[in-house]
Amino acid sequence: MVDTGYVYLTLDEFCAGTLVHLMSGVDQECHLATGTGAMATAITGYTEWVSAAAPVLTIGWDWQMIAEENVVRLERVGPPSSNVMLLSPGRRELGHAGTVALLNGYLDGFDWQAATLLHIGARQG
Amino acid sequence: MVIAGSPLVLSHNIYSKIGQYRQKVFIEMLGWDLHAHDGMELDQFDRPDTLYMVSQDDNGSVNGCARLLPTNQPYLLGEVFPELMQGLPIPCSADIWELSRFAAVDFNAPGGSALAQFSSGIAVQLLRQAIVCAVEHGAKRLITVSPIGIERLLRHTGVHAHRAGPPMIIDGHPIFACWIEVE
Repeated sequence: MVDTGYVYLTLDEFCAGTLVHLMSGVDQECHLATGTGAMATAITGYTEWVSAAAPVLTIGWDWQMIAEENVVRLERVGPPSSNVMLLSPGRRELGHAGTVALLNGYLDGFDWQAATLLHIGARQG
Repeated sequence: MVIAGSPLVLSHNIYSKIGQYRQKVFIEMLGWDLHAHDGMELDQFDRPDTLYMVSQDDNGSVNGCARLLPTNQPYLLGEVFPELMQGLPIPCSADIWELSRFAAVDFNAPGGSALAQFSSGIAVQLLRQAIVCAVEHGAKRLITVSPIGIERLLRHTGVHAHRAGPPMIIDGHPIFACWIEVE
């Protein structure tokens, strides 16, 4: 059997695990957003998470920091990157696109922003 | 223009330019803890059988480079960063090649930066030609040790890639191992 490097599991198995924060950072280049009147600044960066249990799942994505009326929030930008290949309940591979689509949905309901803000705040000092 | 070949094929002038460019990018710009001799960044994996990709502008200035090594010979991930595989088997096969020292910083263009390089046209062309070159030499898959920013380039080019393990901070920089499928 070819070692593909993926970790194979169903979405239910993925959701049953716990993701823990690994690292986050701010991109070296921060661009002023243009053409969006409501947006004051847009700082970008990345955040990385891993599973608490073996085999190690790794998943990371880019984010954009948005400041609106004295409130700062982080918004995911683009799809996540990972070593995960999700399986159907019948344990058939869902492929790259199918996996990314389901992970996108998972991340939309996952509270990653607080840990990321805390981490980058500590690093920025 | 992108040129590919081993040191035996590339002119001495081009080979020297690659070393000088790597010193500017990886040591001076990115601050990596690498060794340099005579103004060139070269290591133990720069051998007569190593394949290089080098991109030059119209004036002959290097604006991108990459290095290809078969994993059945000593290579960067296997020898220096095996921990990035998280205990998984270290690739060792004539049909798995490693892509390393990938850079596409154009020092003659305004706004060139470590992160912006991964979204440049030069980077896209260099990556695609590196994959073609590896395939021509028998590669069925590539693995790379890179800063995590390279994932943006891989997505941008539509290359099928996925992580081999989580990133690690090494010498202050988040790097990771990534599989690149070439089918």
